Amino acid sequence: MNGPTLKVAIIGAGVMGQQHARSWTQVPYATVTTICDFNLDAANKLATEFHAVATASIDSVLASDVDVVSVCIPTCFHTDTAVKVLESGKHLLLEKPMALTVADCQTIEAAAEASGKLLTIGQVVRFFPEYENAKRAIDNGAVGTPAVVRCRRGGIFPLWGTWFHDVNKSGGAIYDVGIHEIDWLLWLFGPVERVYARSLTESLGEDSKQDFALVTLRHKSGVISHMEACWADPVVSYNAFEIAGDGGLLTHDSRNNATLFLSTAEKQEAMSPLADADEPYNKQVAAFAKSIVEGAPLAVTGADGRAAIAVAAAALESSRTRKVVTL
Amino acid sequence: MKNIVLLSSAHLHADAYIHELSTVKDARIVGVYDNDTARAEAAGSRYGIPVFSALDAALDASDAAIICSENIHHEMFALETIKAGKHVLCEKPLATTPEAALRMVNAADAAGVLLMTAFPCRFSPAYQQFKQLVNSGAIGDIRALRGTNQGMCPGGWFVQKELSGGGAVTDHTVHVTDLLRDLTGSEVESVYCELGNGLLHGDFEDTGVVTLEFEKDVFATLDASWSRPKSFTTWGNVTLYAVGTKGTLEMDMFNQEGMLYSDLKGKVGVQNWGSSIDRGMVAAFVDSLLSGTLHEKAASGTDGLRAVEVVEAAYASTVALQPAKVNHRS
Repeated sequence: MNGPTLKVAIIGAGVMGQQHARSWTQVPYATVTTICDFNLDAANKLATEFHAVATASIDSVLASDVDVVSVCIPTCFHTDTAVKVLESGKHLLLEKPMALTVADCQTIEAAAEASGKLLTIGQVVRFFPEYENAKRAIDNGAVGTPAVVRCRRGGIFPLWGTWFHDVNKSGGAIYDVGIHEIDWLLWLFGPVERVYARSLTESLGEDSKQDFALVTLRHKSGVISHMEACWADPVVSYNAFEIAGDGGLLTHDSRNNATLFLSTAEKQEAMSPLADADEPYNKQVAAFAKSIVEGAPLAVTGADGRAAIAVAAAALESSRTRKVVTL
Repeated sequence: MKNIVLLSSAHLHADAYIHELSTVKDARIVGVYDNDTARAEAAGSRYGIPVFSALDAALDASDAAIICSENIHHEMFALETIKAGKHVLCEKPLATTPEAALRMVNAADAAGVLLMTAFPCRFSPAYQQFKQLVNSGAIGDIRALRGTNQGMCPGGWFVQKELSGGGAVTDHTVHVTDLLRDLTGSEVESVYCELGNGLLHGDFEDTGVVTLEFEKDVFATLDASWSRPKSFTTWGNVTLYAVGTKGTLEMDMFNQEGMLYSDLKGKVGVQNWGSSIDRGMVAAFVDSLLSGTLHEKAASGTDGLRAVEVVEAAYASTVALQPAKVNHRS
């Protein structure tokens, strides 16, 4: 084979692991060689689809000759696994949220530093065309100087995982869906000075699979942003934002963006397809591959991942204490 | 037949109230009085109604008054009307301070006249159905709410604090606060607000994002910002989103409209065809006058006071940079 090759392992064969595996196969010089999941059946199923080897042992991935690992496992296991992957000399694409605490994020960053391997966090919203376009538009002054921002993400509770309702494993809706908005807000409007938040996270559990958070951020730039993270709708998920500045207003609502609408007796479905190369998860993986192979700057760094966790942690603390938390 | 006088047309809602009053049986508008004579003349000719040159004479000729003055004059007009033994429908916010609002409430109680706060959103068919759905348990128990009342900056006296009492937070916190109180049947316990002037860079706030904690175990946020730009299709919105234990319910109160792309005006705009919320409110006021008791859907003076107390706490929180307890007066 000519040119560079990248051997890829996926740790965690759940919803996100499947997505990463599909996206890595879109990179011409990458091959998914290993699928790892403690549930060997799940690993086998995905491995068969991608002609890869299945394993239930993380150690065998660490001992293998793969170049890069996508880690897509419950958040509470991120830190240990991320450190091991980096220490074994592999590049790491770590799903969001980076970890449950800022200290854990720092541990992961230190492991990356020590190994000299690249670390990126799956803050994939930066690769969503509508969110990327907003970044470009705002940087170009499309609404003048931004002043007040609203954004919303989520809807259905993630019943496909058995761990999301355990706040000690997932962090709840603020960590799991809100983190996308937080990262995007930091990317567009800069660091946050203070946070006030209210959420249902305290009552989240086996018997209350519902979370909803309303978070107000004051950025150091003076921008006020209001973020909504939802795990409380039985059917509908959507995302939306609006950015008001002294020269205009930019809005987005995913419910208005369908280019296709299917209606049959069995189902109704709105769709908004993109070219393969524009699919956000494909772009995320392609950008990381480019950083590994060509030394391009990382789109999302460990420090970016940690900054978002710091705001999420402040929001959860604010909701618990009902006090404003200053960062 | 009930005779109603308009006291000032400083607030642009006067147009709608006068128009709706003309459609209501058993009531008529007898004229307008304004402390600004030029504005009184203009309103007189715009509505085709007599102009009173003295407040006493205006009140003598009336059973009730609709007050649409600048916020700062609400108290004076209301106290004069009540002193004359006449009923009051007062534009929101009821007053610029809770103390002033309380004086109005107490004076009306002592005189035995009706004091109604102009919260027309209560009369929106969408809100009425929202409330009915919530009360019927359609989405289970309400756990959290999110509202907006975003608009274009109205300019004029609204941005002169000595006349308005404050900017967007004064103007736009009270409608949604009133709906949330009405919906939850609960008072607001504490308030946190982030405000700024980044849209218009004036000496008044044009942005305000408010978090409300209710005595019942429910929280809410509302966005009171004047964040619709001049190029926007319409004046603004009132929205409400409720998260319940069994589902969610979302309202966009004025989203009954067609789009008009006009080369004639060089503008994109909306053509709203929904039911007038002002008609329901004005009709309820006239009903109240006829029956002698406030209509069941109407907002009382105390409802107006409670909303002003929330505004007060919102401002207090921006000084302390922590949530402020709402000081409920009685």
